[in-house]
Amino acid sequence: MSPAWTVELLKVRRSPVARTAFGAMAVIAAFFSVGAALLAARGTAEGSLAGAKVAAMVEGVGWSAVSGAFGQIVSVLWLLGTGVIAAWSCGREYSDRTLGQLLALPTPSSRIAAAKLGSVMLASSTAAVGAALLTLVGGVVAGMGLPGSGDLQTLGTGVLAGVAGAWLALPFAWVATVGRGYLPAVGALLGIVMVSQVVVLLGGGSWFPWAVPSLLVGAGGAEAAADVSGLGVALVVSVGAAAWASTVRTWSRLQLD
Amino acid sequence: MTTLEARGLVRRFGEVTAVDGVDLDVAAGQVHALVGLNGSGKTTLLRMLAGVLRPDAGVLRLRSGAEPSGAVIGHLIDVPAAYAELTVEQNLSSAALLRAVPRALVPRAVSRAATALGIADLLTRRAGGLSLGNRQRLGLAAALVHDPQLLVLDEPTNGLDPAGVLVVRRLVVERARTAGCAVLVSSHHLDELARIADRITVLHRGRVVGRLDPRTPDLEVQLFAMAARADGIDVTAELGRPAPARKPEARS
Repeated sequence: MSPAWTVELLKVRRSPVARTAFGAMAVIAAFFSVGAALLAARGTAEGSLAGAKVAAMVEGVGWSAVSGAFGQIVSVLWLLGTGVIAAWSCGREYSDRTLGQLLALPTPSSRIAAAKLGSVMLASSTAAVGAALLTLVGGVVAGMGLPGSGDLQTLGTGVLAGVAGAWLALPFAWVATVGRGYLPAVGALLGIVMVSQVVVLLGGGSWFPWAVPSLLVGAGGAEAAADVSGLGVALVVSVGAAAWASTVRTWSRLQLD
Repeated sequence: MTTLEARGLVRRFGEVTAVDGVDLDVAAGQVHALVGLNGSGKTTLLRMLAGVLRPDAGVLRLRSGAEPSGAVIGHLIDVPAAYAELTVEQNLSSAALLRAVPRALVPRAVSRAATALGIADLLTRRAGGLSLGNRQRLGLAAALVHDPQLLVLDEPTNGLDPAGVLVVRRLVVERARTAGCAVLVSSHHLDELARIADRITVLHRGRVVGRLDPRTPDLEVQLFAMAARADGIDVTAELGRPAPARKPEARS
């Protein structure tokens, strides 16, 4: 492993910010998915008001409801959580005044930037897999038995939605770099989440990259999922790739001015 | 042996010219001190010399006779860089790896640097829990961990107790005299610099305005007089003695 990857993975692994965020995301995703399915079942069976409300958000019962809810929560939560960590990873070097020690080294700063983004993606993807495993354990403990292959496939799609959400969070690493701190990036992240809501309400979600993962896992219903075009998926890939390239390029020109 | 040569360095921040045509040589085996009042451009100049800030004009040359192992330059500018969540050992290992110390040699390099700065007993402590003085020692150890041939230190004794100051003083002199390192150091403590420096260059309003002889007394008075003279102010009466004559060449 290259020195840049060794150091950046160590920083993410030891950071209380990253540990808390990814740990909380995994627990919340599992708790929400299993809890929503249980509430929906109770709403259907016993006429519970909360259950009736949740039942409108998730489809099916049992593992079908769990896996569907998992994708919906993960697609949003991973964008938010990974966005904060990606912003922190780059922005902290300014706020902690450690940037000077990362410049003028035999290890190019562009390689350090790539290692930062890669470490965040790796940690976030691992957390998404961990969230799926926790959800499986939670469902079994809640008495749902073992999931079928279709439910496992839906859970897997949820994990992919989480990875897509994380990929879409990379632009906030770039914002933190040019904004010289993580706060501007956190502001931009909140702005994107709000804009996504408005765009979806106006019917444009099928092409808006930050809304595509949620729609694909059924957050807008089966019809909205079917409306997502190849262009929308291509934009998801392009946004992350452009953010990666821009961040690496910006870091390659950084100086302590 | 590495020698640093700077010629005509200029750096502007908007309309402010922080460094204005500075020439400077830092020779191998020598401690070259840079002094000046607040805002004289010392830190900006040091940043350019350490390679973390690009000059708007001028040339910077490193002449290395020996084969550099890993990075040639070690620097501590501004505040000591330490990641709070990492231990002292992890901070130093990270610094060594990024400075191209071969992975197998990292533990030995870390141990040597920590011992040299007197923080070997703190290796397992998280950097976030260190005192200001020990953070400074950690920053200095990180600057030295790869055994650099050129050392650039901005106010290296900041936050250190008298014992720490002594450690740094001995270390700087040892690096220059024994290891043949070229050392550039800035400080406001002129008595400290007088003990370790071979040459003292005075910077004022971004320009080199003269040199001080470290072996002469009243360096502070000479510095003030030189700065005042550069501003066109005659302070002979206030200082009680004539200001040292400005050298014909304004840059060194």
